[in-house]
Amino acid sequence: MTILSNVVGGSHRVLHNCWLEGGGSDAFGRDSIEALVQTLDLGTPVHDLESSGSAILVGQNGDALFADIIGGEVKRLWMIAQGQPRTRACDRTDVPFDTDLDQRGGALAFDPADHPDLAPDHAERIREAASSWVKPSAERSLRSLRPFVLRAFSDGDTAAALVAVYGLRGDAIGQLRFNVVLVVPASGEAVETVDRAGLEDAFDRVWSPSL
Amino acid sequence: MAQQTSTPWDAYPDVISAYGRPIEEQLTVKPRRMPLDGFEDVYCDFVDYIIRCTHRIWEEKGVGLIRTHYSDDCRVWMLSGVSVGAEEVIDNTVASLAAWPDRRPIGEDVIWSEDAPGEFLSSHRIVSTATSLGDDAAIGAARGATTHIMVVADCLTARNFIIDEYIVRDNAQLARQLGLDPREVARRAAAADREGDQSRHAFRAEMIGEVRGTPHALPPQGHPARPVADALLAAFERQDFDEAMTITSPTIESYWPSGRRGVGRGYWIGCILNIMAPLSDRKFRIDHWAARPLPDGDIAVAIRWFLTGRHTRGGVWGAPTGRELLILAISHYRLRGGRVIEDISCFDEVPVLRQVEGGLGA
Repeated sequence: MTILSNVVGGSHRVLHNCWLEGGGSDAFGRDSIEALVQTLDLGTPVHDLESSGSAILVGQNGDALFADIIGGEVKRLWMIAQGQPRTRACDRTDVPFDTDLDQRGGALAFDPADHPDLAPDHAERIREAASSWVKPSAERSLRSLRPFVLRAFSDGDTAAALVAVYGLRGDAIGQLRFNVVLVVPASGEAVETVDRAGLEDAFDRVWSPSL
Repeated sequence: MAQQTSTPWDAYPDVISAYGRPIEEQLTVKPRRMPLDGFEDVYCDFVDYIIRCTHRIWEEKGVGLIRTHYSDDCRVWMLSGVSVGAEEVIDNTVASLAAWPDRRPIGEDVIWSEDAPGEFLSSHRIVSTATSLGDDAAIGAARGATTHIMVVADCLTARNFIIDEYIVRDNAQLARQLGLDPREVARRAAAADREGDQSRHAFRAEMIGEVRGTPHALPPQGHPARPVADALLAAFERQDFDEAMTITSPTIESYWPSGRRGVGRGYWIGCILNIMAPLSDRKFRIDHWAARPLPDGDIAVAIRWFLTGRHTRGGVWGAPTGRELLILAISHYRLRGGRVIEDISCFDEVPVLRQVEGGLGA
């Protein structure tokens, strides 16, 4: 059994100071996080992978968890959820910023050196799969999509990644972010799972660059 | 005066970080594993001192322990004011617990240094969870909400006593979690600040004078905090943001107060621009630094810094007021392979807005 499947099954608790984000939610601490995890449909996972520092669990209906692991304990979680946000994430002060830092156009932000659990020969697979998010999107007028590989690791022949995607809104003022998880097998297509609930939450927000 | 360091940043490898350790394990009493002259026997190391005394005082309600853990002349510095002496710390703790009885100061990390023999500095990153169940001096009537906000406390400690403490709390996010507008909270506080004896705000002018008149406390070459300090100087003093960015991973995660969070070098620079742009005649000062090893080979760096300047441009704090503003911040950085992969910076933006609104003597 993996750590995440034990967390979902209730036999392993997350750390007392665990953070969760994504899925249109922010949560801190065991009780809040474990209650949110129970709202996900993760029975009979299609992907259940882990390394010493990361783990991913993807359910059949597109709900997923991505975790930071330290010494066998879950320190951070990202929730990938379908449907509506489970709770409303905290209000925030938005920071306008330059995703590209270059007029030659956006590129994938990814340095394999940041991901010690990623097998060196898997880096190209992650790069190729995540780069597909550098594109215009028909998704509700989002433009200038820019992916950032936040986490990547290998479990056997399979690589997995958590990708933060930023975009400019075409329907309203502001930049927004949502997360995507990737599972890339040694052969075959990469499987992408978009945090639809997180995207809904992002679209529901009003751009607030002042306090 | 430049900070002195008597002990290497990676000394005492058995004194492990609190990061990633279950609280049940942390609170298990263990034998002493580093010299701690004059400290209570229950503390096995300096990290344990910080985590355990916080637990004893706030959660076990041993508030009287403050008399044996804070000196009679200790100073507790916040951007909203300074308190002096253990008895004032006790009064403030009692008031806080009356309004927020289930407060849990949940430690995330303790980044520490031994700056002189037997004299320790801790930078303690906390997530403070609490339910608003009683009336609070700053917030007003109980709101019922359970909140969680980032707090960082830097404590200078010797022989079991905290001598000097700097506290930064993300109170703007606290206000939001209670359903309040941070600016309205600041406006009310500023109105109260303008009443009565104004000498109580003298600390702020003194702090600004110190920021403007005292050189940086810079880490020595070779210390893990030095490249981070250099990057901050490049950004805040010379506006060489391109140079500053080279210390960061292309996917650096930034967590700044009031809910600022994002990914990438552009976002990290965006946070700095966000607070720099409204200010002219700026002065940035690094006040303290420390570093400790983290699990898996990463390194944690803590830097306490100040930024002051005249509020002459619009931006995140609204229309310019011409007032001189002061920010006291503590940043925790996570380094991997010599680059910053995470920046968790905390400052209290309510007293910043309070200065904008003409409070705190501004």
